[in-house]
Amino acid sequence: MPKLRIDAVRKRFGDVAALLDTSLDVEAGEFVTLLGPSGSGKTTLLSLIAGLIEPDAGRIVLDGRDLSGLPPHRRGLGMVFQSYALFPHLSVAENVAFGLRARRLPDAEVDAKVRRALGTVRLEALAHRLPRELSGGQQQRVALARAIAYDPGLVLMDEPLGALDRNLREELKGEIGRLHRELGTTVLYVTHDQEEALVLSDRICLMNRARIEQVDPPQRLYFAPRSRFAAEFLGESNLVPGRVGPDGRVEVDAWRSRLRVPGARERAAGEAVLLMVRPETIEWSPGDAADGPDAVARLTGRVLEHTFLGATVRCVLDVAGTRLTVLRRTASIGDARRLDAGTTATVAVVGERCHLLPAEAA
Amino acid sequence: MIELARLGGRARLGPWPLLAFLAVAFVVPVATVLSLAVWDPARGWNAAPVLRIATTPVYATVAARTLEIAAWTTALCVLGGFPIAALIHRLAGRPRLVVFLLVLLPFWTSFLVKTFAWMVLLGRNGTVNALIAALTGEPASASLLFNAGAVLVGMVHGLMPFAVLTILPVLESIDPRLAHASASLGARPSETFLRVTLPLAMPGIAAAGLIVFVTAVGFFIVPALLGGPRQTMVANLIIDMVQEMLNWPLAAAASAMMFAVVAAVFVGYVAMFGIGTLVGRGRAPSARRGRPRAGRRAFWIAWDRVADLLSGPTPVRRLAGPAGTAATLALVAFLVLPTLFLVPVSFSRSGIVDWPPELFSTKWYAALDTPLWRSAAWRSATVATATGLLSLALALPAATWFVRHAGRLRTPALVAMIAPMVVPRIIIAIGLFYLFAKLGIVGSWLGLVIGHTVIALPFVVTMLIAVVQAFDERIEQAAQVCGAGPAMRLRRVVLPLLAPGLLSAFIFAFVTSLDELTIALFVTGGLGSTLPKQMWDEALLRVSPTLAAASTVVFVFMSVAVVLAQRLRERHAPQPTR
Repeated sequence: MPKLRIDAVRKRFGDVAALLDTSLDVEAGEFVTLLGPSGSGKTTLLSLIAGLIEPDAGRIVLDGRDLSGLPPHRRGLGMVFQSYALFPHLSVAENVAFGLRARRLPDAEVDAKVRRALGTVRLEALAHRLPRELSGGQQQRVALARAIAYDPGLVLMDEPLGALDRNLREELKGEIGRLHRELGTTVLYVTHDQEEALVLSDRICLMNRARIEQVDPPQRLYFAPRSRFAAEFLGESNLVPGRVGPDGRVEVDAWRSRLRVPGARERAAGEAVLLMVRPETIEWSPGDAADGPDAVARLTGRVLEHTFLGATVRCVLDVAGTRLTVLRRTASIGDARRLDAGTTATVAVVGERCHLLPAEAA
Repeated sequence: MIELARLGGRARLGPWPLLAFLAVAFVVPVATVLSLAVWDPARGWNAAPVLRIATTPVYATVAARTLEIAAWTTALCVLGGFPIAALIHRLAGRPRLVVFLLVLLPFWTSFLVKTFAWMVLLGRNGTVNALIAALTGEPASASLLFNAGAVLVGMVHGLMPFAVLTILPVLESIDPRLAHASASLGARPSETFLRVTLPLAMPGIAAAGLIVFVTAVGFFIVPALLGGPRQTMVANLIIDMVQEMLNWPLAAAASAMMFAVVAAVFVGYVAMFGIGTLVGRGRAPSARRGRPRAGRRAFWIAWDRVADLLSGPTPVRRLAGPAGTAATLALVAFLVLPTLFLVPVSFSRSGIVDWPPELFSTKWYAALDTPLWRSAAWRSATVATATGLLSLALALPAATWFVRHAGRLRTPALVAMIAPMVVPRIIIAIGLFYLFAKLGIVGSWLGLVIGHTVIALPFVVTMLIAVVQAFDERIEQAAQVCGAGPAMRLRRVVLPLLAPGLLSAFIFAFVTSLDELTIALFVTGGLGSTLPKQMWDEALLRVSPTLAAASTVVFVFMSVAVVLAQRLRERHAPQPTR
């Protein structure tokens, strides 16, 4: 039995479909991220689970218990809000104690659990401060402690790092990951930041236009996206139209090349496909590429852009009228040397490292 | 800051004209008249008036009664006002606007008009008795007027809108996600209300209590018209001492007593909640840092039992919400409806006020067309216009300075600017009367304008602070960078953006002056009346349909002005202040 089962849940606001028929299972102890652009339905889904809004159809089942019609305070969840929603009139300790007191625990137990929760987020020393006397990062740690203090089976987090600056985000990202590992809680996490999703998640649930696009572990989602949206939302990719040839090779007319690509043989001959090439998988020095019949496509193009990013150089080439983005590791200053626009360069696309997507109507 | 600064910047005007005005027209008169309690200008120190007040039993009785009535009024206004504010807060869109206006109308309806309405309702031949007679079939002529109950009803009816409009902005400032957070942590709605909403709304509730209490302690209209001799309050006493006994030291001693009570309450309030909430800028309340009190858990466990019991059977749960809303709407009806009973009475054919009135005649409106009423109306209109203009001229530079440059002077400046709001009006009135008598401007038009401006300024400053705050100075800088010169910026950018706010502040001041009786009571002298003064004099003689006609005219006029001001603010102000 999954920890949380979302079963054909649907929600409209007036004329706008906020969430189309959506189903998702989350296993106990899993960290699942709802990732997507704004308006994709991820916050709607989270609010439905929390009970802040009721679905038009479908069921949400937690630990085998149907949550339909249960008000938020009866659902026994933990929730971390965007920009914290700490009670401004209560001290840090009383904020953390709030859920424990709502459960009518005896004072001694409340104290012990507050101390433990504050210890987990390393804020024991600030127990008697007011929220407004804390920094943003500290406030967010209080919000975390408040949500885990009463050991909820499922913790919902709604863009918890959205209001923080970059360095703090890094730090708290680590903190949330550590909390999840230490406590073994099930976490459902909403974000639009792909890096957060990649770092934290056991599985990412990618959402787009009020529905789930793909649910997979981060690595699968990155290397084997199932749609153009998934391929473009997560990381950078070159998407080139192609066709499966009779011999199971992928023919790319724009490059006048044929490539051996994993998964091509399972497709029907003549099927139109999209070839996904991650920029960092392209070999800068063609000589280094593994060889074999149709293993690589050697492409020569004119440099359009050349941007030094530190660890990498991002280079956009014009190959026979199509753009190809290549990411090159910079091992020395020589690798990073500026290439003027118009210079020609030859690169090798490795068929093994490519991925096929169904071609779709534009 | 460019043009706005020129309109009222630090270098040229700042808060100084306003503060100088308040020093001369508010601090000096109040201090002078209070000093008479212990200082005889001819003979020096003099404790006699204070001693006489302290040792005369009847004064102690009146003082105790005043405090009692004020305390009850405050409690009832806050208890009734909170659910109304909560209802408006909960509503959205059109229903919200309607209920809000239904509170705004009684807020701006003249106290005199509201009080006359109760005279019609509660009079011997009034609506309530007529209703009882109709229901029982027996003629009823119970004496419902001239007792403590009538006074309390009149005061609560008059002041509850103040409580609503003070509590509402504080409720609006509470982050709605806090309730979500509380629910996600397992607190049922009633618990969320008690542990989150109520503590956060406390500054607003206390501010409402303060404003109602200060006004109620100094009230004289309701006790004079709806109460009997046994309901005389301190303000009525002070009026008698000044106007009948001509005993200034005694009046001063009574005023000092009232002032001391109000000052103590005010200081206590500021110590607990700060000054901000009084002008709609809430401050987060301080935390309860101490250990939770013993027995708290026991209380909540008991609470759960009751709540479970109540929310158990579905019908009860289903009915609880609508029943609460209905009760709150009944409270709103209590605020709005009484005044409307004046309208049919004003069209009565008979010369006495009774219910139901014999319709239909406009002769009482015709009766208003006398030189007396016409000159009163004209005087009120010109005084109100001048008050509005003077208030704006003083308040705009001060508000601009306050928003942009006040820095660490914010709190003291704010206390100084809103001080007239928390000093009972009767004390300001006799202070001005005393001072004007010395200067020989009692009965002058100017005296009225000065007095009314003192009363209107705190509200106007508060409104303009919000207006200036909503004005993004970068817009003006953008205009300058685009090459607009000072004249063009003023004409095309600053004025169009500020105009709605300025106009609605003007209307507020205008309406305040038009409704003002206390100052007018003392300052008009032999010259002739303002409209409220004329109505008051008439009411002391007898309650006539003429009065109902005058009230109806005033009521309709005020309603139009208020709706207009409200629409202006909602259409144009980026952040409407409430």
